[in-house]
Amino acid sequence: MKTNLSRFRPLIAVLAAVVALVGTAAVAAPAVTAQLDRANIALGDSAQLTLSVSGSSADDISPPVVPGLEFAAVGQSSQYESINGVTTSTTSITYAVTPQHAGTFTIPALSRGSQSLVLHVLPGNGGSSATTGNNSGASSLPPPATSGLSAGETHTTQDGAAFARLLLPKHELYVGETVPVEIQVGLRPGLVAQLDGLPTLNGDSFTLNKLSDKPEQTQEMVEGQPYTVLTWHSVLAAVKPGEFPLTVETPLTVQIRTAPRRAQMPEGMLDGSMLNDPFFQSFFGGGTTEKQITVASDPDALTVLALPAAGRPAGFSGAVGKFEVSSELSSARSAAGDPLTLRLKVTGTGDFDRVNSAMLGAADGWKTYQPTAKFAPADSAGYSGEKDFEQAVIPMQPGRQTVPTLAFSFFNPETRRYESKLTTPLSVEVSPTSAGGLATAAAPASNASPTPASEPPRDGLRPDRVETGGTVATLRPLYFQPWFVGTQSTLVLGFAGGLIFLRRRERHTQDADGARQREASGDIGRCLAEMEAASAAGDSLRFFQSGRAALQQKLATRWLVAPASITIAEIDARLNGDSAEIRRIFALADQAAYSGQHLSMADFQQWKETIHDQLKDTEAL
Amino acid sequence: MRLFDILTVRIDPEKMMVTRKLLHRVRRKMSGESCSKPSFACRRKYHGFARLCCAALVAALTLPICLVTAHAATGTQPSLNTTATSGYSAAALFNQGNAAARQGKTGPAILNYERALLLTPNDADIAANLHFVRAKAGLPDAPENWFARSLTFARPNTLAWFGSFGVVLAGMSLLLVRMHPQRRLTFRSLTVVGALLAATAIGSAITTWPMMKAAVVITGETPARISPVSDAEPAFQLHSGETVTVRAEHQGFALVQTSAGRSGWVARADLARVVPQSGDRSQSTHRT
Repeated sequence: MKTNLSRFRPLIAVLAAVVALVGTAAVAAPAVTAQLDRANIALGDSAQLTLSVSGSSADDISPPVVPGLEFAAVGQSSQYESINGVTTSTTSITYAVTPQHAGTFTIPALSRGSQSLVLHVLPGNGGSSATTGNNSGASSLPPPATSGLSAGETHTTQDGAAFARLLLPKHELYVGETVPVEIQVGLRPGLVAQLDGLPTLNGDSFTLNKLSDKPEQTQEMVEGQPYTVLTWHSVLAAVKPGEFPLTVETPLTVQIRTAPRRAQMPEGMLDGSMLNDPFFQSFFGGGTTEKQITVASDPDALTVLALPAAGRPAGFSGAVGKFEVSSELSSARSAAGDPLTLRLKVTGTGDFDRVNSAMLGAADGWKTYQPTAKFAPADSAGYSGEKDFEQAVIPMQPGRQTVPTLAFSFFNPETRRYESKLTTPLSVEVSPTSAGGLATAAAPASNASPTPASEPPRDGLRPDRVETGGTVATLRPLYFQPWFVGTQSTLVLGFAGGLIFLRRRERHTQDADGARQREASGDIGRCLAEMEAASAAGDSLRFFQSGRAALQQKLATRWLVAPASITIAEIDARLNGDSAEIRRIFALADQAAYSGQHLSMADFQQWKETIHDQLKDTEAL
Repeated sequence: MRLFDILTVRIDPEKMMVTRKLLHRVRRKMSGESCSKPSFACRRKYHGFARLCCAALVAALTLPICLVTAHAATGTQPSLNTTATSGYSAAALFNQGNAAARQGKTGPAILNYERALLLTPNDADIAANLHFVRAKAGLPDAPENWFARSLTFARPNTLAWFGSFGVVLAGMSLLLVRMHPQRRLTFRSLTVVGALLAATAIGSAITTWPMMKAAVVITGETPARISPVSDAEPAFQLHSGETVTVRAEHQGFALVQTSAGRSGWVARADLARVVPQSGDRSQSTHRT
């Protein structure tokens, strides 16, 4: 064995020398390392290939040639190291690798010692950006180019570190309508340190479905600069009518270069390009610092319309979108009393939270139960899908029975009209009662009045309202508003004043008799005084008229009538003839008016006493 | 003697049910007769006052209607192509609460739900979402109050109008019962009904009053400080969505009290009142 080794020793030495020479030559050649950011992508997506070379310039780097793959340079960076006075540099170029077809591609090793890379390209969904290992939560909604989403002009931040875009399919929508949107945030590699949160809508006039933590990631050139673009697919819904600006914003942490102390550097020592290099900025006292900023998209004006009141079907539950319905029975044959399952499928696009159906209500020959609902989204955003309503129904009569048509109403924003879809009537052949069939039917409680199918809310929240209803100017209830309080206080004070007025009036009324008697006494006194004056003057006419007036006043006060109404007939009627003196006085007064009778002083005195006596006697009437 | 009978109706309760036509005849016959003037004048004043009361009733009922109509006309009913709109809608606030909740903004979500509940306290959806968001954020629900809950069968503004109607009804009935004592039972029953309506509105106002001073923490963790200055020592932390009672305000700070009874000064920018004060331009006082 030892002899054999000795025999091959020269050969081994030659081989070792050759290997050493080759190895030396290999070390002298530029060492290019390659790195792929991911191994699996979907057709239509791009991967990122980074080629780095040490100790050489970028001119020594060229992209590999792989049939079916396109390489496009999107960025370049340089790194310098100074160790014990020896400066080394590493240059990296980043390429966007875009496959032309699905399959497995091998990127060959670009230098000795490096390894080849394998890229698996999965078939896409009609050219859409399919999910990859890095964006499992992303939606399968169409990308902007194919879905008709549009965005305004892209504006980056002042330092060009990032931009945000909101892509909308249209700018006029209805309350309750949902539309697919894309939110794109472009990040400049090397300038953005990290994303501090998910994009959010600015304002609360719209709702946005929850965004994925793992958005799609692509490369894009904007204004000649490479950006890593993160894309979220979601669904936007408007909550109230009006015109509103809509923006999205995202918090970021960016790296800001601090200026070097140029005053200490010799003039003309370094040119401008070197001064701008991060390495030299750091070397001369410059560096980077982090700063939190918020990048926002350009405002996009959206007009939100209220749902029209005209033509609204009675069974409209608030669904806005485009839907189709179909129904089926679990069996075309059954026995009376045996339960069947009636299914209603609503498919389409829109807000499925508002898709609801009372299913079959009270129907002749059928016993119906509370329906249930289940939604199966066709995409991660829940924009499209199928909602299944199931209801247990029991035919009660044998023979050929028919399940009536089921109606589902919704508002179609494309046609701008309410639409009602009807299912076709379903027939079932019902045989006579099977054993225990009716007993089974009687067990569950019947559902006399149709109620919408119950479905737990998808995100734990009760769904939005499509009817915004009336508005109030302020949240402050009426009874805390000064004008209302003032009005009520005025009313209360007015009624209190009215009550006081009425009470005083009642008291005054109660005192009216006394007042009237006082007034009558005054009148009688005046009449008697006039009678005295007439007797002194010998005027019998005035004397008897004054006496009669005094008696009229007295009687009128007693009888609560007008004095003028006290006539002889009135007195006879009231006193039943027991009024001879009064009648005589009244008669003398009448006679004195036309007879011109003159009385002596004694007669005056006698009649005065008579009148006074009669006045006193009337007190007892 | 018919005239005499007519004139005695004032003191004879049985004959007080005279017709208006008969009273007009009395008026014609009695004009110019001095002794019967007090009775007739009193009766005429009664009728004048009754007319005044009727006018007041009509005014009291039509004025609010006119105000509401005018308010509705100047308000912002949802319409096409409206731009800068004003006014609050319970449904819009509910939707805004949902929007904030879906974005993880607990404070604005609870604020909008509280505002929506203020407008429609008997809305089960709003209460459910408010409970859900609070539970998710680890915040306790407001304590149950049977008295307040019993008054949530209608909107506060509706109850306020009922109360106003009750005031008019009770007031008018109190007046009419004195003018028409023969219908005492009817008018006193109406008085009780009116008083109950007014009492319901007052009860609703009493239970709603705390919300006038309530505020919601709309930012994240917010320190409640021992004094109203920025560098004062924090006494405790408030969480986003926590509902507090504002006791006082001083130079950009509000003295708040939590449901647990702890008090501290919080920057006003971190709070939003459930019922915005006049001139409050808080970013969370979005209107529809």
